[in-house]
Amino acid sequence: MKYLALIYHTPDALDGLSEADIQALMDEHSQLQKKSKAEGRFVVADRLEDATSATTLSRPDGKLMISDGPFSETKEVLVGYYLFDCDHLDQAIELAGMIPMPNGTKVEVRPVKNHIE
Amino acid sequence: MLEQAIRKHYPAALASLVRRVQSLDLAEDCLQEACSRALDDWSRQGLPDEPGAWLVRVGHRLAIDHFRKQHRWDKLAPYIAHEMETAEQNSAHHLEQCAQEQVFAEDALLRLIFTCCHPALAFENQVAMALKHLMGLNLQEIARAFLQNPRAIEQRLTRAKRKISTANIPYHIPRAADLPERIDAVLTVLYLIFNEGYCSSDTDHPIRLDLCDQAIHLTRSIHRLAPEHAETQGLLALMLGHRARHYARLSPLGEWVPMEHQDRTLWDQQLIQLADHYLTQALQLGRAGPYQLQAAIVALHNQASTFETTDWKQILLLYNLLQDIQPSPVVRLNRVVALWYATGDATQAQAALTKLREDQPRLTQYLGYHITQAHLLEALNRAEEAQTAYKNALELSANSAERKVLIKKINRFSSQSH
Repeated sequence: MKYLALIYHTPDALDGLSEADIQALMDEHSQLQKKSKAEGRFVVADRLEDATSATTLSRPDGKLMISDGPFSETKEVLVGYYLFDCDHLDQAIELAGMIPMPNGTKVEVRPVKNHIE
Repeated sequence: MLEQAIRKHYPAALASLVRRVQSLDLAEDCLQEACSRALDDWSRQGLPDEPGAWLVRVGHRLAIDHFRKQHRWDKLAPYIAHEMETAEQNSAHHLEQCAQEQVFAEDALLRLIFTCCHPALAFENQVAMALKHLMGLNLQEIARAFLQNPRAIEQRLTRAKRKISTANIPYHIPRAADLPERIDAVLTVLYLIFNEGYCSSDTDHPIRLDLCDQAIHLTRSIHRLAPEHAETQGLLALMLGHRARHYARLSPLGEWVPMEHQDRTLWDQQLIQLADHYLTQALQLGRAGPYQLQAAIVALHNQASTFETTDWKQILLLYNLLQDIQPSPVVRLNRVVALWYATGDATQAQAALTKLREDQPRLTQYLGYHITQAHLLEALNRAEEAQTAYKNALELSANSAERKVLIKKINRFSSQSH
């Protein structure tokens, strides 16, 4: 069963971090990737470009509307994600809990809908 | 009588069935059917020797029938093997089998506890799940405890079950690394349920002893699983220490008897000793926490042979420690009471209470605040204000035994003023 771990923080959450701090975060990410790969639970993970680079699409009257910026108006923006393949939620929480969460970063764990075969 | 027997065995039977069939929904359906058959069967043939085992056996058979009808041969295979084994077993194996069954049942119950109290479920939903599946209450009873309508409770339960199945919350005992935190979550739910039993909002039953005892029983199971978890023993000591006073808490007229006026010869010394035993063991682990501190306070009350000889100085000391690690409004309120009795100075206590209310305006939503306020004002001979405080308390009280006492107090003031 697949679980998507969505990483959110405010756009300025990483401002003011020293190079050593950033390196420490990267190390934590590599540890998590190493562990989840070794357990066969890693599917894919990516860091996203800045939220200002987002383009939001909608079809309010059937006609495609294209607008600048992220859809969500909350302060936190989606900055990256992991996709894990786990047996159950506790395993997913164990891995997602290893994602570094500096300055109020939050991680939302969502089960991916099962395909009916 | 029969219904009581069924209720008593319901949670353990449900746990065993979930463990066997791996589905809460199916286990629930089968157990419900088994319970209605039990009512019928037991009223004609009398209570079986082991009602719990009877319920599991019948429920299990119903589940097997269900799998047969669904042609779930994959799920059936282990049961057929199990049935054949059972048929072959001779009496020499029987004792060993019973011991294994007990381990199996205990393990099943623990799994069910951790599933119901999983932190991925909203706290209110955990409580609803625990009341339904661990306490064996029906929707109406849960609704009464929650002061909500049964429909809302049903929605909570449905939401919780849907989350368990879509997010695939495992039906297992958490791994060792997660255990301390997951146990904390379980203890919070069990303590809340114990308190609901100890001072119930159910208008017909001021005390629900069944809830208290089941909460104690489940806390013991957690303790057996994690004997080194100090706060589990602390909570056990706390519950047992309170439970020991049960027979002194209600007057023959169904009114609360405050601790000050309780007949202490009615306190259960065996339970007090048991509470002390758990508390001593817990404290030896060297990780004091809120439950242990509260249990220590209860123990000091239980040790005193009269209200007057209570060691209030030590109680105040413990409240100071408790307030440091858990500065909740309720803890701070109780500390004010301890301060009053430790110093005998009602004026100082009143000043502390006024300051607390200014810091924590939400405290006025809490019944205990108004009762403390009323007692203090009474001690300070401010009768009119005290009466108002009792009236405020009455407005917030849902407990019938407590309401009786409050009404009496309020009326006494009225008769004095005339």
